[in-house]
This record gives sequence, structure tokens and C-alpha cells, in this order.
Amino acid sequence: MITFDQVTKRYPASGDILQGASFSIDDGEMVFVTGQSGAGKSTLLKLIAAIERPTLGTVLINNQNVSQLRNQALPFLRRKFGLVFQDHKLLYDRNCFQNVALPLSINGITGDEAAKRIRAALDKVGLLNKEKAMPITLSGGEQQRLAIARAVVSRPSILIADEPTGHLDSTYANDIMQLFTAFNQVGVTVMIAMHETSSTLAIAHKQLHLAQGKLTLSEHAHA
Amino acid sequence: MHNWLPQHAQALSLVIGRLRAQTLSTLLICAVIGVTVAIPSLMYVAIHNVSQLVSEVKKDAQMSVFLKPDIDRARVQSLEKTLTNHPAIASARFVAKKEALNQLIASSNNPELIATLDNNPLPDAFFIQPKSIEKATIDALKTELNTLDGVAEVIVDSGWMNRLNSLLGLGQQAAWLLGLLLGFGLIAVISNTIRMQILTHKEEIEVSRLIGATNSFIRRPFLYLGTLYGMGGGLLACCILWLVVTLFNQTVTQIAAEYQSDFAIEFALVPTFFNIFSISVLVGWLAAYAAVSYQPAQSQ
Repeated sequence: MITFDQVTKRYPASGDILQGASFSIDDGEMVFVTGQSGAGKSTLLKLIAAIERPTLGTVLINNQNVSQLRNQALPFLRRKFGLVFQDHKLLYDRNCFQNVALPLSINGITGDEAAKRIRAALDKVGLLNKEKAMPITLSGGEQQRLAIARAVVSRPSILIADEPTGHLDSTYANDIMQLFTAFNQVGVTVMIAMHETSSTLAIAHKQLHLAQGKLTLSEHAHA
Repeated sequence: MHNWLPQHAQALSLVIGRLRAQTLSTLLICAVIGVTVAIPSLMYVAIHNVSQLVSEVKKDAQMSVFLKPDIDRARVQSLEKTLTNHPAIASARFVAKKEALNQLIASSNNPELIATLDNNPLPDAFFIQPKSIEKATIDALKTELNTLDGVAEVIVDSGWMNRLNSLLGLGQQAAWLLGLLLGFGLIAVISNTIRMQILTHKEEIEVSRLIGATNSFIRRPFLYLGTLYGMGGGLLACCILWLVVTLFNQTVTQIAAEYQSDFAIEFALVPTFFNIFSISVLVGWLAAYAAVSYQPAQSQ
């Protein structure tokens, strides 16, 4: 469960990106964070993943106060999340298999168990036949799918994606969204930041809309 | 805790892979370490060997106790008894002044000139072999012998060796100082190389951090890198030392043979190599630690 209580994030150069945001997300929900560019969508996701700390307020992840965590404890919190970045953040000197292996090696999972999980994740995103390929040889959609495989390989309870379809055409974008929906259907909490114009918003349980630092929450009926 | 060993094995294998991929730069950095460690090691071995040689020569050091010209026979006998029974003296040999003159004439290139002397200028003397060659013991013995009745002068024949020994001590200190300075230099060079490696893998470090890597996980490969550089450099330094000593010994033994000596440069192979290897590994690790301690702290 993710809870924001009166969270403000202020940057010295750009002022309050987020002002007194409060909401909560239950386990297994699919949530879209929408807003214009620069509205603070990425900042909100970074606050959840403890990449940023709130200036004011409290962020609770499974009742754990992120603001009070020591730096040494942050990596262990981050391991609970699967992160998908808009720019993929793939390692271009390693092949697909090795890219997906990274979170497992961080968790100390190696050998046959790791290989089994990596192949399962690559299979899930349809890249099993490309495990030896270098990321540079993949299309934009395939690279994003590889990033998703890396995010889910360590079986996180929360999957966070920052504009995962931002650079993709509609065919690839639909493929990617279907993947997230599939993960959500097996109980993974999914949070996706995207532009409000997206046609895929209807599949979300909740929508967090950001405009000028203010957050509005809308719950969708189908949930 | 059960993850500890696989993570170390993984980091080591990753680093070995990277080193293999950059064979030339790996060899170059190992060469820098090897040569830098070999220089003070060679200096130390050389000084140690000269010290050993001087110690060997010093074992033959003797003291000359010259007696007063008017000393009588009874006093000489009394002195001989005193000296031979002295606990610090291994042996004492009396050479009468007549015998000394005969030896001088026999060894001189111009005996006729010596024969023209009206009086024998040489004194009666005892030649003493002390039990210990320690400077303090020798000095104490010299002072004591000077106080004996009938003794005119005591001369220690190994004074020049003491001076040489002091110079060797100075050389040894210089070798240590040089070693320390080169060690600091090495740490700076390796540290900089590893910082370059960290910059090369900046994206990987950033991604790893974002997905939950601890500082230890990020630092581990670089610490292994420094250690492996140290190991490679250490092995090379041992090879250089062995090679240089072997080459030098071919000439040194020839020169020593000219002086009827079997002297050769020697060093305790296993302890010396162990020390060189350990120091290199330590330097490599310290350099890597310095590099990673600065870099990963920049972002959390």
C-alpha cells in the first residue's frame, strides 16, 4: 500500500513541483499519473521509489515511512519496485539476458535460478528469442519491453513506469500497455505516468492528475 | 548472508571479463605497478646484501693494543693473562716489537731502508679478536683496555666499516622513504585509473542504484579491480627482481672470484616475494578504496 499525506516537493530552482498531495493506493491497483510535461509526474513516481525525498509530508510504502529511512536502507526499499524508465536506461554493452540479470544479481540470485527467471521474464515480454541480442539492435518497442522484463524479473510487488510509451507509435504503445495490464491482473500494483491525452486511461482503477503542483484523484467505476 | 559468496564470485568474474577485454591497458597498469614496486625492492635487496658482506668482513675485525715502550716482561705476561681471560675477548696474540719489525721488513718493498734505522720504532703489541662486533661492546672494551697499566694506545681496525655501516643504514632509510613515496604515487595512479573506470560505467552505476544496488554492490567490482591490478603488478615486480638479481649475479660472482670470494647477491625468495606481492595487493586495494570512496558518495 502506498500512502501520501500532505506531501510537498520543492526544488530550489523551480519551486513547489508538488503541493500537499494526499492519496493512497491499495495493493493490486492500476493507477495512472497524468499531467502536462513538467507537471511533476516523474517527481511523484520518484518520491514513491525513494529516488527523491519529500520536502514536507509523509510517504508511506507498506506502512514504512520513506522520509525517515536511512540512506543505507534505501536500496532495500527500491528492490520492492520494478522501475521502467522513459529512456529505458538499458546497458548497451550487455546483451538482453545480461540486462535482465542485473536486478537478480543485486538481489544475490545467480546460477540456474537466475537463468530460469530471466528466460521467464523475456518470454513474458516476447523477447526470449533475443536473449543474446544487444539492446542497440532492438527496436524502440523491443527496448521498452526489455526494460519491462528487467523491471519484473525480481517479482516486485509494485511496478512503476515513467511514460513507458512516450517514444513509441500506437501499435507498440498498445503492446506495452497490454503487458502492464497483464502484470496487474496477477496482483502487481502498477503505476504509470503518462500524458492525459492517452486513450488507454480507461483501464486504470485510479487516475492521479497533476496540474500546477496540485493533485486531483479520480476513481474509475470499473474498478 | 548466503548471498555474500555468489555476489563476490559474480563481481570477480565481471572484473576478470573486463580486464580480458582491455588486455593492453591492464598489462600497462600492471607494468607501472611492477616497475614501481621493483625499484625500492631492488634497492633494499642491494643494501641488505652489502650489509651482509660488511658484517662478514667485520667478523674478522681486530683490535690492536700497543704497549708502552718501557714495559717490562712481567707486566706483558700479566697483561696477556688479563686479556686471554677477559670475557669479551675471543683470542689475544702477543707480537713483540722485534717480531713486528721482522714482519715489516719481510713485507716491505724497501727492507734496506728499514734496516738503516738506529732503533726499532715499533712497540710491543697484542692483537685481539673480540667476541662481539657490536659497536657499543667494542667501544666499551676499548675504553677498558686503555685504562690498563702498560697500555699506550688501543686501535680498532674496523672503524671504516662502522662508517660504511652507518652509510648503509642511511641507504636503507632512503630505500624505505623511496618505497613510501613511490607507494603514494602508485596509489594516485591506480586510483585515477579506477576513477576512469567508474566514469566509464557511470550509467551502469546509476541504473544499479535506481534498482536497489547497495554501495557495497557498486564498489565491489572496483575493489576487485584494484586488487587484481596489485596482484598483477606484484607478480611482475617479483619477476623483475628475480631477473635483475640473476643477471647481476653473473657479473658479481666473476668480480668476487677475483677477490677469492664466493659472494653473490642473495635474498630469501619466498618471504621477499610474499612481502612484495602483499604490498602490491595492499596498494592496489587502497587505491581502489580511495577511488570508490569518493565516487559513489556523490549520488544516493
